[in-house]
Amino acid sequence: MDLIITGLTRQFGTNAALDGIDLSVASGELVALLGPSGSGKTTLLRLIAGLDFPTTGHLFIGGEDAVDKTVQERNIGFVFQHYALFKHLTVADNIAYGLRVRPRALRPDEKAIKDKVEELLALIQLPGHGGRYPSQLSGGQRQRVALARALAVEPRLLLLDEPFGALDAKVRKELRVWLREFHDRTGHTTLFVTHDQEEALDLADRVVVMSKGRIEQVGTPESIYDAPQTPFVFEFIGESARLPVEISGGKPYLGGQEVVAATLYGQARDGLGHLYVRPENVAYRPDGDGLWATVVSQHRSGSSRRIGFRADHTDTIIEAVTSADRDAPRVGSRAALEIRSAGLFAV
Amino acid sequence: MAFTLAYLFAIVLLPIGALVVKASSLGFSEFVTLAGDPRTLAALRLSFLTSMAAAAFNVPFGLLVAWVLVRYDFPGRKLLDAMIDLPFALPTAVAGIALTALYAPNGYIGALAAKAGIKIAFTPFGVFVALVFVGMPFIVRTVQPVLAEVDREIEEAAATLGAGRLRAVISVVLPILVPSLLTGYALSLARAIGEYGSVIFIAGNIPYVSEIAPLLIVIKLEEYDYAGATAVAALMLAISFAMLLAINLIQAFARRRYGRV
Repeated sequence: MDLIITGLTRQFGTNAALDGIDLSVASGELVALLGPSGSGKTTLLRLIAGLDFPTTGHLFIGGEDAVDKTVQERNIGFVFQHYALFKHLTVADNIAYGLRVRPRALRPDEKAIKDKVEELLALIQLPGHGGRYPSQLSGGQRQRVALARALAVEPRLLLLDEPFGALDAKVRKELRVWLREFHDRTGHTTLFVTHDQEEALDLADRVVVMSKGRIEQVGTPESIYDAPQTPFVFEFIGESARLPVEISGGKPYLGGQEVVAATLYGQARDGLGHLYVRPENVAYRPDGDGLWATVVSQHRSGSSRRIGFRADHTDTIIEAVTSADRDAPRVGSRAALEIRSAGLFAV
Repeated sequence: MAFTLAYLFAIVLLPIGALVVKASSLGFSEFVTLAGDPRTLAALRLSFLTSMAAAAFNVPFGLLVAWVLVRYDFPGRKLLDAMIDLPFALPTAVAGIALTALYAPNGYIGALAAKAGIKIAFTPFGVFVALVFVGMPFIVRTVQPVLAEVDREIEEAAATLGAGRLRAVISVVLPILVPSLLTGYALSLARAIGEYGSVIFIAGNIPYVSEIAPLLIVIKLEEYDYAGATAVAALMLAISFAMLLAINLIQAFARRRYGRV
């Protein structure tokens, strides 16, 4: 089911945890809410679920205004970071919980509940584990049980709060791949919260980058990484050098000389500004035109080599990444930098 | 290890053993006669029934108090929290006098109750009131820390799955609290059975009506009836032991059933 959010604001005292959020999620999409802690991403997820209520604003689930509905009425699947499984119930009883608490008229009979539990156990690849208790499962298995429990009630939206946050790195990667396949197979409209950019960029159809209660940028993982629209996104996602420049006529200047970039985007108001450059968008040559710089460091890291340059007229280090089999330049030698793509933002 | 055993032996087992030896020196028929005395039986029945009733009453209400103290923040919460321990700390005689002053026919609540035709002081109900008073902290203090540890997310999880508030609390929070509630019940019960000071004032100690077993022991001692006192004491010991054993067994079961972490 699709989700439309308009002007959603949540104040805690005088402090706005969420400040005017507008967002649309299409049916069947897998969307990541990405941001540092305190950015409001979990608050947004809880507002959608109905575990918390907005100060102002609206949200529509499947075209229906849901803002005044209770969490029980919204029919949302919510998966918590620490699983929140019922420890005194078996895995099967955990999964069946949402069906058993339904009013008698809507409750399936025990046989149907049992079948549904078996079906979900197979779906999460834990057949035969129904009789176990959560304490007898590993972290990754528990998280899958929590997912099955949320899916048992056939939710209109699936919301995951830091679903891999409590797992170790290896299990996290496995579960990530598994979740992507799972989503492609079942097609639930899914929102998940994460502070791990790799997870968001790897997994999601679209990424919502949040900071301080606002949305910074919404887009596909490619557009978020390749063309950040704000300085925050540039600094938060991936690596980049931040070069203080002067902006004149929409172009960056360093020491009176124009810094040429093949692709330049951002808001270029005249005055002081910052030029953001990712290492993979920097090439260097021993001669020719470009931004002249001195090599200050070089080291190999796995299959690539990272070289640090100090550009003339600035103290900022610009890094470049090249293949490891290319000869390393000598520290102290001079090179001309060619910038393929950069973001320019006024300060 | 050796020290602990020696300590346990000296402090706990030695007096109990002495009691058992003393009681067994009575001879079986003499013991039955003494124990079968209607006044003794009435006192024992009163003691154990009011104790069980008071402890049972304290379970839901102590839970309620613990719930409010853990889950709600209000001005004076810390003060209220500290006051829970008062029945622990108060000399029992002080509690007895305070309760009597309140519940006697000329006391504030006693006068109101008398108008409604209910007599509290000098009846088994008075005994019950006093035992509720002294037993309450045990429930609150055993449940409180466990409740504070309960993850709020499990209630939210139940809510997202469609469970109403009450249903969520009963089905996912209460089971976690069952072992601590049982422990609280056992402690409250144990305290109530042994309670003396706070009860004797409000009870009025009318034989066959509101005379508790511990008081009967004291009365018999004062009459130099050591054999009679020992018989009552031995009976109390046996019943208390049996009850605590039963509660422990239930607890062990509950822990297996609900105590998984």
